[in-house]
Amino acid sequence: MHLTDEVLVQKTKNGDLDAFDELVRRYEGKIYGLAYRFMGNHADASDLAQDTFIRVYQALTGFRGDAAFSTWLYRIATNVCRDELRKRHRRRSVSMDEMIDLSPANMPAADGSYSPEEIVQRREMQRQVQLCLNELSDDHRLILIMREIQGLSYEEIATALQCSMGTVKSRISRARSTLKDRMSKQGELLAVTERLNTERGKNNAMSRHL
Amino acid sequence: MQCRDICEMLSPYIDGMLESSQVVQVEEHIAGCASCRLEYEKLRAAVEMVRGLPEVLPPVEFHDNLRRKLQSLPKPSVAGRQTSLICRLAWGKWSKTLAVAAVLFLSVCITTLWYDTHNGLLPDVAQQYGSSQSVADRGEPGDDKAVVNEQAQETAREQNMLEVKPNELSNSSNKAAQETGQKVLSTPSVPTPEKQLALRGAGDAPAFVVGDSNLGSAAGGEKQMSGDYVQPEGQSTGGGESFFTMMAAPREDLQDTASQVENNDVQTNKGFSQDSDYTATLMLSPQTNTIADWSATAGRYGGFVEAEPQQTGGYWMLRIPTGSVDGFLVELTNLGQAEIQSNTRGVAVDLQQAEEQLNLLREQENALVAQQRNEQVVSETAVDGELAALRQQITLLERAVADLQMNITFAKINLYIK
Repeated sequence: MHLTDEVLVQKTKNGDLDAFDELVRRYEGKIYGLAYRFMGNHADASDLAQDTFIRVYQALTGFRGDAAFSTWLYRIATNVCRDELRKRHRRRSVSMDEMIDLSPANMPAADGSYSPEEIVQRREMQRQVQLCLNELSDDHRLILIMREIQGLSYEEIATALQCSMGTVKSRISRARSTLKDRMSKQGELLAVTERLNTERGKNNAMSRHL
Repeated sequence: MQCRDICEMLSPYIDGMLESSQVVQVEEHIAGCASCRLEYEKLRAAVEMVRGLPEVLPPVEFHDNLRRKLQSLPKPSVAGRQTSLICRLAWGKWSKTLAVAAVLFLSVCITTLWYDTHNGLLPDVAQQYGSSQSVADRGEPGDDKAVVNEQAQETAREQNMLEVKPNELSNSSNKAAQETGQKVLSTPSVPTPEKQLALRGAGDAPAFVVGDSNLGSAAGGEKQMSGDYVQPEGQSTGGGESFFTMMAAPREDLQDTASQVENNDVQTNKGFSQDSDYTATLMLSPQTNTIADWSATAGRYGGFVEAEPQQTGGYWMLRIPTGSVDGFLVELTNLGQAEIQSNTRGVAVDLQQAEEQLNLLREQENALVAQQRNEQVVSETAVDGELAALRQQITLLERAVADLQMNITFAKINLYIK
């Protein structure tokens, strides 16, 4: 039986921790992913994702369902992430470079039919993409994670970030443009992706079984 | 229309956020203007690259740690008044209606707590304020069970060790698989009572699995996936944990034992797709223990470092292509005194089943999408919900398949350095 988020929220409000546990199960991947891509390392991602869910849990009684639970969750998650970075910028203690994991413990892309060389190459490429992301401003990085990685709509982003659709549109546009320039500087990066993507089209894992 | 205006529109164009008249403008322009076309292609490639980043999953202990923290917090309904104020502040909408005094009071409270606690984490404070007692109480009955399960788990491990001895490292040949299979089927050295214990443990496990995977058919895949993150002995469950921790960690091992028994006949028939795990303990002089060394070493065999030790006494998780594992392990033994355990299981059937299931789900998805297009108005939300649930299943299953394939291509090596 698949309960909607709203039902689970209501149950949590009535004191059912298992219901909240189910909500966590539904969204922990997304929130952890957001935090990881935003901060660039697992230690921070763990802390911030945990912080987010705790804040959500504590604030749940005040959640009236004006927006979808997921949107509200994103809003809190983005606030948690931005607060953390602001705190650090003030302290100037940790630079983004130091924060990045030396070995991004990434999962392979969903389509797993690659040769070992391709996997290694792909990982290197992914590491560089993350580096480019890290060079963006916090706002730009955040909005691109929400749009490209989490696949949120403009509207959802606007609600989560509490800004207008116009702002979302122009911020995404500027963020992409900056990202593109950074990637062009990385030179080969764009060319390599191009090649990998064509190869990927050729040997799709599923086509063998159809 | 000028190039500059077109460039402004490229990003919303990629997202399909332009009006149809604008779409025509953009398309006509980039068809005729080489520099804008190049701009568009670069932008598109950049977007694709970020979209292609793999999903990053939380570590296996994340959920349980969070659950434990949450249990130690007051229930939101009890703490309702205070927390809903915080929430409203965060939400912003009603902040104007808050009394200034309340704001001041809260901020003073929060600031004090913030600096009091180590990391600014409010829950720690809540923990100190007595509510953690209930967890301690609840923890006790759980402990007994944990002991039983740990015994079962150990037995399971013993069996694994018997199954593949360290020197039987070749893992991709049929012959090796057959030997492995026979060894388990006719192991006289495993005393019966132990075997029963292990099996009983395994028999208990599905109850847990069913409990947490209401995704039905995706369960098999999910199991496989999470099995991957199981931590080695001594890291997974500390004492005094709530029952949730127990569910997560040992379950996988038990399940593995169960499927191992099941898979053995399969393995003898088609032992070509195998999932190989190694746990190696290496006695080494400390100065050589740097990341550069291990990623370079793994790199020489075409592999990579999947995760570094997260704490002292932790382990390196390395991935080495299955074909080069033997060479790598030989190198390990040359570096110092190495103790290596291996665990190989056939996953061809798992993989095939997962892929078939995935294809089935994808067909369903396509059918739903088609249905959605045809009858747009009628009960759109119902279809949306169904589609969302289906896509969630597909994602899970895709991950599981990718994981299986990853495990077949790359052997996983958990390396402890002493």
